[in-house]
Amino acid sequence: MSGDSINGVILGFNMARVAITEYAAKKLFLGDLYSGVSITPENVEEVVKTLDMPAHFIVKIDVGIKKRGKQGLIRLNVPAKDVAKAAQELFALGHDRCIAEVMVPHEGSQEKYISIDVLREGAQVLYSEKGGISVEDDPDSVKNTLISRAEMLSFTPSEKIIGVPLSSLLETMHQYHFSFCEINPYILDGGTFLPLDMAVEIDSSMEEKLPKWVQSHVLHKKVTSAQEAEVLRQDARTQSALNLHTLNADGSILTLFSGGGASLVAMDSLVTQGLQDDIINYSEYSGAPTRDETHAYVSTLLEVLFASKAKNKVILIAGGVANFTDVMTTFQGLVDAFSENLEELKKQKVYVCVRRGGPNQDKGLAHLRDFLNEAGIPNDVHDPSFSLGAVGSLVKQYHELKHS
Amino acid sequence: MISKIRNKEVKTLVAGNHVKIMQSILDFDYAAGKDSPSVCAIISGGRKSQKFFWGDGEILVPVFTSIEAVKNASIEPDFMLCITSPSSTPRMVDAFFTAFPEAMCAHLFAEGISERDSLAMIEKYGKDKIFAGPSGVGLCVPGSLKLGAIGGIMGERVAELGSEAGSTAVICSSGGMVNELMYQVVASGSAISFAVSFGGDRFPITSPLQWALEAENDPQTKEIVFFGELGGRDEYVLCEAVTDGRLTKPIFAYIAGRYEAKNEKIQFGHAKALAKSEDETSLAKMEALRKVGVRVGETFEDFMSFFTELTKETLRIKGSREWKVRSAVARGTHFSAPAYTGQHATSFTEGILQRILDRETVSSELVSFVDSVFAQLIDHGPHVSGAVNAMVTTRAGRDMSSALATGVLTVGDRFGGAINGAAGVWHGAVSCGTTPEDLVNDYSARRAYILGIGHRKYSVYKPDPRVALLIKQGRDVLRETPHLDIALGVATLTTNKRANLILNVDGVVSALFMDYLIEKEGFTSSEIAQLIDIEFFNSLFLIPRSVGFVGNYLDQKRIDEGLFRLGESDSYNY
Repeated sequence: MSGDSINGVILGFNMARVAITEYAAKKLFLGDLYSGVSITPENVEEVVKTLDMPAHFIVKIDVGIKKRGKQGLIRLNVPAKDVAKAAQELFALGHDRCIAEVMVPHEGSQEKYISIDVLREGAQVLYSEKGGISVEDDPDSVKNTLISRAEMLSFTPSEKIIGVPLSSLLETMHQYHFSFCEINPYILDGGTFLPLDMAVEIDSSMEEKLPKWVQSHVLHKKVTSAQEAEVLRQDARTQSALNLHTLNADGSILTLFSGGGASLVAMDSLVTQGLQDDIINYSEYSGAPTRDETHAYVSTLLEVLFASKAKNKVILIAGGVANFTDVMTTFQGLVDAFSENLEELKKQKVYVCVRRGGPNQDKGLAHLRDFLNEAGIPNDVHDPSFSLGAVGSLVKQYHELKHS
Repeated sequence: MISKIRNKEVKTLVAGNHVKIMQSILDFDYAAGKDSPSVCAIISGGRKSQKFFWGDGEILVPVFTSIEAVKNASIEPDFMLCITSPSSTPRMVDAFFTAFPEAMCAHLFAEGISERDSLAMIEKYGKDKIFAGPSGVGLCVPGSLKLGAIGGIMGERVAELGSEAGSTAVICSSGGMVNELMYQVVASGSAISFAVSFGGDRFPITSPLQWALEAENDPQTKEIVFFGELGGRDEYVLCEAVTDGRLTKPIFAYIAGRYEAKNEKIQFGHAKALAKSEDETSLAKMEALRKVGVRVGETFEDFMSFFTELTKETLRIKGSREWKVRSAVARGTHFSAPAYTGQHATSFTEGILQRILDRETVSSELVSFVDSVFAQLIDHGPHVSGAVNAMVTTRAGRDMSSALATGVLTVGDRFGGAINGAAGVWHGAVSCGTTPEDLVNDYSARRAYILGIGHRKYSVYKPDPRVALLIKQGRDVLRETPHLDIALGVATLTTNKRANLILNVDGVVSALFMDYLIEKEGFTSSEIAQLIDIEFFNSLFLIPRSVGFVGNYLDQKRIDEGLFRLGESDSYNY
């Protein structure tokens, strides 16, 4: 059951699946037939004026959170004149977007469920006659079928599900790069397919190709600090990939990893040493950033490290044997950032732990090691003869040393 | 497929330009003892060839603007290294396999290719072709193929891969980690049978299972080192294949990504690296693999410790070469040029032709024709623009070089420089089978002049004697004159419109020269197209007319009338 797929917030790094608002999902699927509105604190006054007066509305938080009913994020049967008030109440809970739609009176027993997930083999369709919030309680009612890849790509499913316009759903998914789409519930209103709740993830590699208005409905992870915002800006300005994802602002281990795979291995080695909760961030750079780019990026990461309230701070710089990222170039940028922050690094007694290989590794590692030694910063600088999976134990040893 | 790669001469087309990666491929090829680099063509802009080191010498690899052009040059690559942007990569793949349906394999370097594009490629090519990527660093078969940055770009390590093969297949999601693992396999005393990073995307075109089956079917591979990540369900598909006996060789595996945040699902570096549900976590996938008998490292350290169990077997590639560190002195020269060896020419014209065609021998018929052309084109009187400029410059007291340069600089589309353009017109028509009617209609619809047609002074009533002479000479010698026929056909039509729209000297020289090249020098149509591309034909005017400009200078020096000034009556001042 992929029912919890949009549970929690999916982060907005590029090149992955990312949620869009319910409003955008429905508007893209239903087009002009859709009469719901998207309300933000900025447009609330204006939007409510356009609402159909005699009707009653449902007002829901629309920022990708699921199980909104249970969390009190939905207002039902709101008369048009009170929609603004309902929205303001919901905004007061700390969210910045609502959706308002005309209420569709129906019985709980009418509610059905369908989800479509794009897989390698084709579109996996799950559907149930017993939809609604309790669909997960009755997994046996859920049927599972696979639409072949060829049928999915040409939106000509041989499968039929009564009342569900499967072909046009697949077409919308194709056109707007939906990777996952869940409609729970939908009802058949006199035979017409009516999605009441719709959750969609798009393929974010195509985000820039979507209509402009949709792009503002893509639910990226909100940045939680000035530094995360700064790294996003730095990332946008370069061909390389730079990122910062804060996990525990008051942790003691600042990570600076190279490469998608090696960063996971280094994280694993911290986890297996029981250091999971001490990790400040997940940061990965790749694609050969220049010296200046590395300098700016590392400076920003250091701000995060310095702000942490933890003791015994460590900077863990780890990566595999790079294919073409020049170790000397990136380490020069690193040293630039370190030398600018030397006083604070020494004051906070930061330990620097390194494992890295690749083009120019000997020069790069020596450059960093010499700098750290000269500056009097405790360090361990290793080349690939030291196992990537052992970086966690280096950090662990240091922690134990400090505690004893 | 892997053993097929080992047994053939690999020819790789590189789309996009990444000099360091390409150089690393040449270093690999050189170490493997190949006679010539596997990179046989590059798709890029702004140049016709690119220079690389080949051992401690240098070599040029041809550059083309399109895959079509590669095909037209009769180059038949069977591999493509595609280093283009995510949006143009799918088009490049289609163009490649359309032009070369027999090609086997491509590596797509781009990160950020859309899921739909990947699925469409799987649908089209997934069964018959193999792909490394999207994203990742490619495929390496030691001694045979280095398709991408895989194995790095450092000469010494790359050379090791070129010259030594082993029995361990490395199959890895990540581009960085595949290199790390290859390094560790070698450090443990074993060697690679092949290595691939299938890519961190959600939908690699060739799936991890397909790669594992490649290893299974490769007689040289004895065991598989597999590195996967959290996210996706590929490992369960592997489990099935182990259970049903499709995979029997020992597999050593690690699935990275055990960090779990408390309240969120984290998207790690690769697109696929997000565990959507419990069974997509690294721990769940490792457990599943372990259950079917795969050796799974509890930690990455455990995984590394398995490497001591890998088959200790290294095969020296036959004919492989030692890697010599390129000394600082052996750095690249700044341009390439053939050594001029035209000492065999018996006449000035023959020497000129050998030099400008870059051929050691040229037929006596062409020499004789060009001799006539040069004789006709040395001078055309003092009234033409170039001559006027040369003379005015001389009378301003400047030296011979300046007078000659002034005259030469006057040459362009309007004066003397139309031979190349005219060659383009006739060659285009002959190679596309365009009739004179179509050609004339096309130009008149665009209201454009046909280069090679029209003269200020001569017309049907007063034919250009030089043209008639050259036509006679060509017809006497050549069996066929397709370019001249087109040119005359066009002139017949244009002179019906206006009497001075005759075939001019530029037109006839260019047409006949191409006819000579084909019949007497054995040039192909694409070789001629290349000459047009580099403005070759204008040399047929510039060379003799330079003599005329020198003559203009000498005349004026002999007479020496002092500084020239245009008379008041010669200009209209408004």
